[in-house]
Amino acid sequence: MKKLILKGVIMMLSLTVCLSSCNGDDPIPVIPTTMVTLEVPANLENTVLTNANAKLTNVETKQVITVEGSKFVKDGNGYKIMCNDIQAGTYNVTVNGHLDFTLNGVAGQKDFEVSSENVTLSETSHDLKMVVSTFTAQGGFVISEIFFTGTSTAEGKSYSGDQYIIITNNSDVTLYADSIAVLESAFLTTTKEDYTPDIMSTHFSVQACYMIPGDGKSVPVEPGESLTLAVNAINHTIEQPNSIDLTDADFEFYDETSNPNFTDTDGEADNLDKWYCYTATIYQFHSRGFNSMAIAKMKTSKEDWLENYVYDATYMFVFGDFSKEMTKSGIYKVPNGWILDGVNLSVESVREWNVLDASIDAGWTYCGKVDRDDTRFNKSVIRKQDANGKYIDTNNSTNDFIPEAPASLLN
Amino acid sequence: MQLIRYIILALSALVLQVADAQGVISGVVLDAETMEPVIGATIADAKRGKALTVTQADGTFSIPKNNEVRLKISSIGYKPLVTAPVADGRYLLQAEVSQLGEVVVTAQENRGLTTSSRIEKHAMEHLQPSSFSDLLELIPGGRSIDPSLGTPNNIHIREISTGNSNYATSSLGTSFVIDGAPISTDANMQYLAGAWDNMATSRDNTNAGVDMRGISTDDIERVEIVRGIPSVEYGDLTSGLVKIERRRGGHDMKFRLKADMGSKLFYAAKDFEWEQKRFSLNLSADYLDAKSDPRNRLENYKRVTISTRMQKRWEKENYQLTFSSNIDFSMSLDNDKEDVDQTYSAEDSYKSSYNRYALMAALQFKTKRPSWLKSADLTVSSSIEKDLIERTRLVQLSRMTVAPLSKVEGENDAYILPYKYIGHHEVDGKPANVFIKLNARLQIPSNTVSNNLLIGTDWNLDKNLGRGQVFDPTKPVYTSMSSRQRDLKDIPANHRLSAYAEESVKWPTAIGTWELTAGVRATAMLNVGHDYTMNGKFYWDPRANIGYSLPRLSIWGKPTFIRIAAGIGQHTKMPTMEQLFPDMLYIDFIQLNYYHDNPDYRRINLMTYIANPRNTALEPARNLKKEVSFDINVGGNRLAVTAFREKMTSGFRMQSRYQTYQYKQYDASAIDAASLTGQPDINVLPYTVINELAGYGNYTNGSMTLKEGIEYTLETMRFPVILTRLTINGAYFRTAYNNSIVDSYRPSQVIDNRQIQYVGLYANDDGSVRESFNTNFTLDTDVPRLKLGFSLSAQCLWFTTSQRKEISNYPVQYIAPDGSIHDWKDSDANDMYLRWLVRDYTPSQFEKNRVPFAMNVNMKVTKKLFGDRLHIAMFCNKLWDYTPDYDSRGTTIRRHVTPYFGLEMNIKL
Repeated sequence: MKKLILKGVIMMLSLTVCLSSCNGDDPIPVIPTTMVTLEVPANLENTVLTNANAKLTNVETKQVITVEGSKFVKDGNGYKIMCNDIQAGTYNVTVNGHLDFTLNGVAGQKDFEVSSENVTLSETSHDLKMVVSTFTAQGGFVISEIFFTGTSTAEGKSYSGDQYIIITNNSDVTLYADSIAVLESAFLTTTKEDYTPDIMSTHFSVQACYMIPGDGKSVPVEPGESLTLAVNAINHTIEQPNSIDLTDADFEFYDETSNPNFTDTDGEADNLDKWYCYTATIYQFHSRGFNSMAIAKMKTSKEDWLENYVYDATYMFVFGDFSKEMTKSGIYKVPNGWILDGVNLSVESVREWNVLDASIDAGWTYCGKVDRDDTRFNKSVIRKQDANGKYIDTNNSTNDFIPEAPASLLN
Repeated sequence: MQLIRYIILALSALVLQVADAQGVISGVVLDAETMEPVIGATIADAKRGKALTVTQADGTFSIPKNNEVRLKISSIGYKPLVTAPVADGRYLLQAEVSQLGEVVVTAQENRGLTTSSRIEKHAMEHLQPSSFSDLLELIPGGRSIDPSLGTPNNIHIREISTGNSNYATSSLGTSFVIDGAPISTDANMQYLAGAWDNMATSRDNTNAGVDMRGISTDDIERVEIVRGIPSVEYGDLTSGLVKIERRRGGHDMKFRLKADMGSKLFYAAKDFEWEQKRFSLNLSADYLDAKSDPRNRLENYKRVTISTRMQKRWEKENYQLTFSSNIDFSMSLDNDKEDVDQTYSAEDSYKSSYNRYALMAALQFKTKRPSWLKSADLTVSSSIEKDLIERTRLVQLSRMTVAPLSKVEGENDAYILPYKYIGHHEVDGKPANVFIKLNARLQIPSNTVSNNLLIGTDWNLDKNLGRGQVFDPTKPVYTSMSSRQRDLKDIPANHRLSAYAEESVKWPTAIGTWELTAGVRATAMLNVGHDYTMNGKFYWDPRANIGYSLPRLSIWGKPTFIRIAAGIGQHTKMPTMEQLFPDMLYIDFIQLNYYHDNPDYRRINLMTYIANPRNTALEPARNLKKEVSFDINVGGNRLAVTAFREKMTSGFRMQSRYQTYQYKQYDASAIDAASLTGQPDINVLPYTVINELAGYGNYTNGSMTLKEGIEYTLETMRFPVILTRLTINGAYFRTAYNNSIVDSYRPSQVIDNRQIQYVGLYANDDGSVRESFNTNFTLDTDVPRLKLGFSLSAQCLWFTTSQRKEISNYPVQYIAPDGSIHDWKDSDANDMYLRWLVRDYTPSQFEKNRVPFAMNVNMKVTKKLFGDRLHIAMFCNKLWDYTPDYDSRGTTIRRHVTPYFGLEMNIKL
């Protein structure tokens, strides 16, 4: 109904323009074709523009020309519209609409409105370029915190059920977290081996892969908003007063099993889809932080990944008076290109290497400077923020993270 | 005329020996130094050179009475003695090479047919041991190792042990006999069920035989470690026999104080002897306190032994009767605690104590008259132990965890454990043992061979009167436990009955002396059910040793004796109580796992199955030993070499079995947490029936141990002037371990939310071959004038190797979740799930690993002061070492050696 009215109005207006251009003694030149180009941020892919409107308002005549969205034609990564027979003059131009896109493979969306004032349109200068600059679509999902140490009980014992990882949409567009997986490295940062083949420059070798389920657009995350993925999404303070209430966590690492020796607790939060895990016991993060963690957009189906993204490595194992060539078979891998963010974790006194490629993380962060440091409990690694509250991501966690920070969800 | 006379005499000797002693002269031939009987010595008419008879097993002989005859008594190794016969005479033979006054500080090869090492008191004094384990340095193949008193010490004769409990039958099958009474470990059930922590598992000694830490060495007079084929008198063993004889009599009061880097030992003893009454009494006690790490007071091992030994002898005209009795108490205590200050918590401790009370009584009858029956022995021994393991731990859970309580099969709700509690778990064992043995030694009269027939029987009972695993199931220390409590009293007693007969013959001839010991032993387990293969079955152990000694030779003008011997024997070790009657296994499956903030609304529902891991097909472990030995003695310098092969194909091992079970998987997603008013009702929940494979272990005879090797000992005479004696001993051992039964494995990986549902079956899995070759060069100097003893031992380990048996990465078959068994196809290696059954072994893992030469030099000094009343000794092992770096597949391996030293003081009053 609204569209119909709009169409009517536009027709009436065009008629008015035509009529008015026909009379008068000092005829204002009419530009036969005006092209308005809409430029979207270059890093957006697969953009789909909907609900778009372009409004050109003649500053002198107050005459308004509106072009509806259906006329926008995709041109490369951007859009363009043709307006015919526009009267030369000075215009205020506004383009708004809704963009759906993928950003680094992650589905996203954003409403925009861009405007340009006092644009002169003439026979010689008849094309108009509008740049969507209200958002930059820089960044994307980042790991903003990993709480891998767990809390300590009043008796000083370790409680690991309350581990969590927070991922945050660090961009200025809404992004969908579906099919983003939390990955744990297959290799330890504390045991360096010369694995053959060495695939680190192209792939991340993983021992656990838990994916956020959904149909592609089920889990929108607003810019600056976060998702908490808890090992157990329950109110831990009921049983462990020093712990955390994780009832409101968004997702949970739940390990379904029939073995009563490894009972996991199924909280209210939705369970992550456990694509692969190296152990049939309960999954939890390495509480001293010997494994690196990453998040990746899984760009293939579970079946395809399980079937095809696996390889065998060999290495020379040296221990005491013996050295042997060993095989580590069945290592799952995720292409580095799928990885949105990764963090190397280690402990200074026993660290040997990084297990993520330097393009993903050139540094490393930690809780505890010596192995089995009991003071590490209740501490997290948290990404630093800039003055605007944006998380800093220079792909170097040594610079980007605050090590041994008090866990943010711990009161 | 003379001839006829002698024939008559010889004939009558045969008759009269048993019939009437009137017309005969009896005597006994003894070694002049040791006063031990000389067996098989030829008694001849000195003038005519005609052999009259030979001495018997007790050194006695009888000849017809003839006052004119002069006897020539000869035996290989001794100077012949020519003398006139006297009634009931004692004839002392002087050894050709005198060992008189010799102080031997090494183990000596036994001079009899059985391959064994004898360790005398002097050697022990020089060695300065803390426990029996330290003595094993002296046997061929032995090497000094630092005492490790924090965990049980097991014996490994003629093998290079892997430490793998699946190949523990060797140590389990080595019998320790103290003063005629065997130590039984068959009813030892001291293990913490469900334990996974090192504190508990490293101290588990079930099914592994005797813990040598518990045997104090101070009362020991002599030890004989039988490496070869023991007499059939000794049974229930596969691999070896350790015979310990403790001191009897004397008048000393002794104290010993020893300290080394890890332990302190204090010993006191008082010996009494009333010669006229032929009565002796020995009292002794010792205390050992050892720490694995001297800086850590919280982890230690303590031992207390108290011993009372008495003996009374009655000498009658026709017989001698000896009654011996021992009362022993020994206590072993392992303690391990976490530091309270470091963990905030007082509650993390492990304590394991063994308290053993043993009583032994033996009656020995020996006839002095010539008769078929020479002696008879009755030994009765019994022991009762009070063993207790106590494990306490503050348990703090990170997740909702269950304690399955149901002792019956079926669906049940599990008890949900509190998140914090103090768990306490005890293992209460009271193994009781009764052993009765009756022996008789008979002699068939003969003038040409010395013979001795041993017949006997023994009966052994093992029972455990303890309560077993004792814990509050709602507060378990170990939350992952598949067994429930059971009273050990309910396990039937193990009864073992054996009978044996053995003939020993020594036949001196002109071309040399022949010796033969051959016997057979039959053993049956009496109290196993009809369904057991062993039920009613006798296991026969034939054993024989044969030897041939060349007549006396002369090499470089020195008397030379050469003997070649060979032996073959079967040995049988019955399974232990735990192997015959393991705990029932409870296999639980979670059907519903529902968590709610309100603890009262939480529910975990289980399906419980009970599996009986008893293997009725279990049979004893049997070891067939074969050996050949060569012994040459040139003027007292002796070289003994033994080559052996021992094959035990039926060693005990734990094997996994998989079976399919069904359970319901309830879908809890429909439960509305907010509207619950109690536990969710499972009857309204939808479910799916799931097939799942679950495994459990049971004991089989699947372990093979093949031991091969050469043992050698060279002992020289003490060189004059430098007063030094050289002993070179060592061994080359090759031990092959092999599993002869299909092994199974289920991968732990989780693919798409479920653990891999397949179990691979692998043929003839697991196995290794190890070799070692060592030589110890021991120079010991004894300076009687200075009362100083000094020894240097260069212990060379020429090499050790280890090689894993090459096994396939591919299963031969696999079990699907429904229990069906499928043959493995090559294409399965690409299947998303089945590919995980392919294992990770690489060819390099089957390559031989060789560790090259290493040498340690040990020094020991002893000095006697104040007229032998004070005896000071010190040792420093690994004082100097040569352990060069070596290259292993491109990696340089560096070896480090730390010296170990100790000091002790002995006071004799």
